[in-house]
Amino acid sequence: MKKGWALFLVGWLWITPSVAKDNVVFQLDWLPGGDKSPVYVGIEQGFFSAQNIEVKVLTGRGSTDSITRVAAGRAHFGFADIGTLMAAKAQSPVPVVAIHPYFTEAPHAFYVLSDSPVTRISDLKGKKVATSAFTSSNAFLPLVLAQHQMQEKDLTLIKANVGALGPMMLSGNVDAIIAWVTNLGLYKQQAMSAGKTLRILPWSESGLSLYSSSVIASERLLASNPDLVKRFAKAMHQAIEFAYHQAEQAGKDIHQQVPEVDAVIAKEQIEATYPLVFNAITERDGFGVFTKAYLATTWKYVAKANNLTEDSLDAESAVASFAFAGAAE
Amino acid sequence: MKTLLSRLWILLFWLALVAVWEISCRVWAVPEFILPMPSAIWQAFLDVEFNRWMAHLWATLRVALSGFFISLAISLPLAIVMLRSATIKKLLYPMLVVIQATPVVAVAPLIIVLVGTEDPSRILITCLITFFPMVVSTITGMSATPDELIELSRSLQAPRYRETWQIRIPYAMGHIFSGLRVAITLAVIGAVVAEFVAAEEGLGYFIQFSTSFFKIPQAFAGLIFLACVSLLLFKSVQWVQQLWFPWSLNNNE
Amino acid sequence: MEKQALQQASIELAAISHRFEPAGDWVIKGLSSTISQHEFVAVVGPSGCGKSTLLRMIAGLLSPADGAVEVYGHAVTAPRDDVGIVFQKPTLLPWLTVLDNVTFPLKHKYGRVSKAESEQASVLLKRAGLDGVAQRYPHQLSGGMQQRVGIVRAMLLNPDILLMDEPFSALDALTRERIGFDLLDLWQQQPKTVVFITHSISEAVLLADRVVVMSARPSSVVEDIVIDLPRPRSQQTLQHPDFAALTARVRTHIYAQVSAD
Repeated sequence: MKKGWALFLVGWLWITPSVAKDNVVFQLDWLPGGDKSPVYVGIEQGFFSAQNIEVKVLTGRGSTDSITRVAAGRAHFGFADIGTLMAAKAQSPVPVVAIHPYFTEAPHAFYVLSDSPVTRISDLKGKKVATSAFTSSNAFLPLVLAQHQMQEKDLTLIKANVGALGPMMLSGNVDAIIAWVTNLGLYKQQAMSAGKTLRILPWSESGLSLYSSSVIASERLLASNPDLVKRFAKAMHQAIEFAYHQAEQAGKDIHQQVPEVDAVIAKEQIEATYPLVFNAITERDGFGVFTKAYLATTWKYVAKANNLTEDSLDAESAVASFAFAGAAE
Repeated sequence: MKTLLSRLWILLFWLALVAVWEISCRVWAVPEFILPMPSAIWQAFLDVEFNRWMAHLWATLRVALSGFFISLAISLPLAIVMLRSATIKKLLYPMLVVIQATPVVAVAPLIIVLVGTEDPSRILITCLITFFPMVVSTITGMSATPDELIELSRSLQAPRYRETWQIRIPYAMGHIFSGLRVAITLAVIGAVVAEFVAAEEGLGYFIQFSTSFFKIPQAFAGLIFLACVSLLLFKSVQWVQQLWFPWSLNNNE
Repeated sequence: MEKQALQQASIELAAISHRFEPAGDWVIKGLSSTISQHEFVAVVGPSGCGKSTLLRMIAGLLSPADGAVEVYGHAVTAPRDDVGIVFQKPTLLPWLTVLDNVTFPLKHKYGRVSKAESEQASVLLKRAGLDGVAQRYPHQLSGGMQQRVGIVRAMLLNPDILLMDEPFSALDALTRERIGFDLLDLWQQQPKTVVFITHSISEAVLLADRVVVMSARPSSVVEDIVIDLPRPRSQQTLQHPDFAALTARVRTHIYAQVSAD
């Protein structure tokens, strides 16, 4: 009995993470899934231990959540949308920087049913579109619409819970939904259970080209232990490459760490995400490098999407200086 | 005999409900993402390994129960102090009402950032949600002590602490337990709310996770499991009352 | 007890007045009375005339706004050890056995109960015909038995003065009569000063040495009637020729109060 209570106490008296030797906390921007696999791959394949780093992963609830927790010192590294980070930094001095790009194209997309009359983004005029309330996609929607000579008021926009989006479209309540391309596999599966198929209209194909999800780090950690941050970036670099070139193993790795994640589904998610990670941009600039020009383009979109003036932030301050040179070497 | 029969009826009612659910889903071919069939939910339940269920259960339970007991340990002395001193009551009561009126869902993300992503912050969230009913029911119970008993105590010139321990608190047990019954279900809700905001494990996290993967039957399985746990905790509070404080059950003088 | 003790004043009420708020209406105004040691005094009066208030002032639970309450020549400023109270409701503690309820005042006052005291409680319970239920809980007893336990509880500390606030009002007529005689038995075995508040005129006449009739608010004593019916009182007392006359006399005074209201 006594022992039981002692265990019970130990159970919740966890010590809050602190910068012990090379123990770091990594903050996801959402729940575990295929597109979050690199950090798990890094652990399973030993990329972190090769750099003498021990990683603990925390789940998150959106980019803002992730950035806030890294800024507050609750985590050292994380995934977050660099656009969200830039918008945050333009408004207050958030001590967080990006250290490695992850998605070099926007992950946002419209999903429609295959039998829908909507085949191009411009066909959406006057249609009902559902989006989730807190997705970063919402900020970029006006920009995408503008590229097709539309405004937000040309659509009937409905905000709903993420879980409700698919069912709303499948039951015919809305004509299209806004979701990330990373979830194509999941939405396809859901549609299949209702005997339907889907078509996806990625925003990146219509010209919304920008840095999106990135690896972020605490600026304080970068100042106090730049070497650790660089080693971490290097391990992540290797992990991302591994994950996207050996998707099946990556699926198994994440399943190993998070049993709830199905290895096959994770693999499908990784494959669906591939074009966001390795694409024409990485062909041109090289993988794992922030370029000042593309960063400037990103900021231009982000500033416009968030109603910020372009001079409210020096875009380059959102990225650790070493990350411009490339992290791998 | 009579209770056995009525229990049988209740069981039959639930079985019939499940049957109607299953059949309607099949007849009208209700898509899984709208309402999964009981058989699909059962299958989803079996598909998750036993030790995973236990890990999630333990994560939720340790937060819910720690929050519940810490809340209890704080609210009882606080209620006593508030009953003794009108000034302290005037000072603290509005504060308690403010805490109660603030939606925990809204402050939970702030607590996670301030306190951290480990159990303590989740326990704090649970405490915030369970605290109020405990304090209020304890105060109400202790003030409901018959005047004659208080006069008896005063006529004996007994020390005040004995009035509290030997009369007021035992007398308040009926009220305290109705507060505890409310609080124990709130504790589970608190733990789940906290898991929705930050967690790597737990039944609330499991439900959210399942939804994010559109595994609706699995989410339902988690939900029903959680409801059963909640019910069991509620019943446990009742059993404790029946076993150790039987007088408080028919204390309607 | 010695003969001279009987003459000694036990309770002295000297022109007491009371109201619950500083500028409120007087509940009791200029009430005076003297109660001798080991006298059984019943107090009757219209509803709301402050009988219970009076009792609480004698008990030291309440201080009169004006005037003085003295017990054995000392002003009452706080509850005294030699005063026991029996309330209208038995007010037993539902989580304690009958025996523990009886010894509760000791446990409550001193924090412990000695073996001798516990045995004393058993003796008292036996005398009250409750020895068979000592280990039962209050809810297992009838209302009459519960009230008897309440009386035994008040007796345990062997107070010189027993204050009773309508102790039998919740009981049925038969039980009430029987428990009244039981009380007289106890009183005769262990003489005490009893102040007995009641609504029942016949009960007052049947039990008491003296009936004090109080007026309506603001109340004071309107009549002090000596009941010189022979003791020990019993069923036969009800047939005594003076009994009817005495109850009629008390009743007249009470109705005079009610109609004057």
